[in-house]
Amino acid sequence: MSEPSLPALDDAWAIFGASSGLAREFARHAARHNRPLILAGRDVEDLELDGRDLVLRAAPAVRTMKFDALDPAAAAQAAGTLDAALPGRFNVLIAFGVLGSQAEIEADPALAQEIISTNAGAAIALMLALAPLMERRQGGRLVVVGSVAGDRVRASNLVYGASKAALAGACGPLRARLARSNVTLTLSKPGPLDTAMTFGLARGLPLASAADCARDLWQAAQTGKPVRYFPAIWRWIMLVIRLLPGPVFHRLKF
Amino acid sequence: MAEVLRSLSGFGGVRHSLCHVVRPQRRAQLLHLLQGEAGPLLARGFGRAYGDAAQIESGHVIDMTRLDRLLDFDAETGVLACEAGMRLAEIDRLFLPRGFCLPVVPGTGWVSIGGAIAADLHGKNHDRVGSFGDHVQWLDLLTADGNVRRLDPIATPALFAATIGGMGLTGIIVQAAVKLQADARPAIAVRERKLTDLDALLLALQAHRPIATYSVAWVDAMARGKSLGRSILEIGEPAEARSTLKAAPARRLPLKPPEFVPLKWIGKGFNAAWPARIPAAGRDRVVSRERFFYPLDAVAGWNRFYGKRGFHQFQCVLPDERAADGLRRMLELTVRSRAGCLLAVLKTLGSAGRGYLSFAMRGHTLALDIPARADAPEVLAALERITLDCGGRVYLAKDSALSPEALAAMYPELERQRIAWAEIDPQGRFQSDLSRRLQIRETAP
Ligand SMILES: Cc1cc2nc3c(=O)[nH]c(=O)nc-3n(C[C@H](O)[C@H](O)[C@H](O)COP(=O)(O)OP(=O)(O)OC[C@H]3O[C@@H](n4cnc5c(N)ncnc54)[C@H](O)[C@@H]3O)c2cc1C
Ligand SMILES: NC(=O)c1ccc[n+]([C@@H]2O[C@H](COP(=O)([O-])OP(=O)(O)OC[C@H]3O[C@@H](n4cnc5c(N)ncnc54)[C@H](OP(=O)(O)O)[C@@H]3O)[C@@H](O)[C@H]2O)c1
Repeated sequence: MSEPSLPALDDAWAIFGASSGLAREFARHAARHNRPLILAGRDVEDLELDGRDLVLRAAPAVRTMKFDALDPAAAAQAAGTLDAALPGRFNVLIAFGVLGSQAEIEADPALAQEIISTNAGAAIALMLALAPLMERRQGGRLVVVGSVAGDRVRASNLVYGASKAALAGACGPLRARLARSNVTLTLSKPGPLDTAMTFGLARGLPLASAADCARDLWQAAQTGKPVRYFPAIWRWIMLVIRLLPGPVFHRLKF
Repeated sequence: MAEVLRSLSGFGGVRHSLCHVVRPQRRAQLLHLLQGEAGPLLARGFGRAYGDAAQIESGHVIDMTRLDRLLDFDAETGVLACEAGMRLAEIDRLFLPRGFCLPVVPGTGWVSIGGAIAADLHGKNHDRVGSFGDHVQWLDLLTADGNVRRLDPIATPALFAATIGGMGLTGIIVQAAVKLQADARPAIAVRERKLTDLDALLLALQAHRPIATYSVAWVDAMARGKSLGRSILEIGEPAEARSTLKAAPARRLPLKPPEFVPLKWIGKGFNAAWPARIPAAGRDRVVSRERFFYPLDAVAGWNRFYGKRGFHQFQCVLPDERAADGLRRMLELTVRSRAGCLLAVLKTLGSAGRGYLSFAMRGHTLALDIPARADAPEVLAALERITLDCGGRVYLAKDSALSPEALAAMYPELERQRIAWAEIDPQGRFQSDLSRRLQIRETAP
């Protein structure tokens, strides 16, 4: 998996947070479309297993790399590695994230730091570190996973929602800047997905499949869609929710 | 890793148990589990076992379905290594284009590699290729001591035999290597024949046994008298696909049958209408593999057809010599008792499996759905007696009603299984509702 000489890595996908349920399915799509892959995450030993899987699913080459979003040097290191490994155009998926429990955070507010740092701080730093590389290559797709939770922040999910709102905020200007170099930025906004993140949460809310979301996101990325809700109905749900007057919204219990 | 308290049941939905469920997504999360809590635990795949094999009241259940990676494939030998959560239909989807398929598949594609090994599955070609476990080259088992051991039939024959067909009770299968069949074809040429009664069916099955690749009979379990055993026999041979084949999207059952409509009426309509599709002379057609092997997967949620109380599935195998007699008694019993069985499935099995608790033996295997009504236990007990009387056995992957005494009588190698357990899991960490109900770990009195 970590062969020193890789076949042409043109149009490779670099996936950050590659062990995520959504990212794993996205990588399987990329493999099916014969794209080389770089899997970045904390558990490299496990990513090697994903690498074997993806090669057997038709990825021409897979490489893994250590990436811990909370390491302040991570973004710069990742940029250095990608710059050296990928001389041609490449694409990026930023999928890492943590949900946290609002109750636990209220008991220990310092926990908010880690969630905001991961979901917003590290993701934005990584986008900023990779942007010049992608600009220099005059193309590629940058895909960032936000959430419907960032569209209007709820009290029950305050820290996570705020982190995804910050991430979405950064995407706007960055998209405009990258567009000048022919790089597209797609912000994914899934509703609840059936992944490790939601496993164990109160049942009752319908969970969409990560594989379906990944397939949809893959298509959105290919056409450079600026924002993609999944399932699509969330676009309209969030439109209504954003229009609710504050006093009404904050009285809603969810 | 998050843990949820969930009410779990088997596919038949008869018995529910509250279990602490975890769903590891990385290997390390799985391997650390044994270092954590004490108390009983069990692996679970897609929950397609019908009864109580994949649940453990108040224990820990490890959902394996997110550990589903392909690990190695050798196109020379056809040996595929993958994680235990890999789904069987997914393997065929990925490998058919390369000319390989699984040698043994059950009646649904929603079965994991772990579940396939733990139940030592049989397919519609058992006479030809044997059970699923016959194609397993090795497997890695996470055992109660927290270690992962590689088991294979040569180096570790006893532990291997205790794990194939061992219903998850020796440990957690982490990954396994299965030899795929080469020269796979994407479709099946099916010949369907109507048979008017049990004797005609048994004769036809017998005639096809040495030559057919796949065979299965759908028996009208409500036909009585002279029509007892009336059925449709399907014979299948691998074929090239017709270009028009398309996988139909799964349809949901539009409505649950109202609880007050006697199942008998629904069954009458269902069973009377269905064979009419096939002309008297029989019918030949080419269908996709999915359509042939997994006909019920096209109707998502069909298991709720029987309503809230669910249903038992009874499946036994009877040795050939006693099959005609035993099957007749079983069908008569289900008709007479008005137990609400609609359909039965009859297949032939070729030879014994490799596991101590493997289901297969040379004989005829009958599977029946029995709605969980008040009289179901009585019917199941009578079916158990006939099975015992014929020297047959009941399939644990389907079972929800067997008695401990019958288990011991049906599975002569149970003692060897117990010896293996004493070595590999002396504290009895791995348990299920099934193992408790059948007192499977206890030494015979
Ligand atoms: C419609 C339908 C048709 C079927 N047709 C057939 C058929 O034709 N032939 C046949 O043989 N069977 C058939 N079955 C039964 C089914 O194949 C088995 O019950 C199979 O074990 C289910 O696999 P699963 O992954 O859903 O496992 P589960 O049902 O979740 O578990 C079954 C058993 O396997 C164990 N297990 C699961 N994963 C692991 C693991 N990783 N390590 C250790 N133990 C594990 C569990 O502990 C449990 O004891 C059918 C079932 C259905 C619903
Ligand atoms: N599930 C949902 O309902 C939902 C809805 C909307 C948006 N999303 C978003 O979708 C994305 C993917 O999440 P998911 O649903 O697939 O959940 P997931 O399986 O729990 O994935 C979360 C991923 O983030 C990684 N991660 C967390 N902290 C990290 C760190 N410090 N450094 C590196 N990686 C880190 C995890 O890596 P480890 O394996 O090493 O822990 C894991 O791969 C997330 O951004 C999430 O916010 C999810």
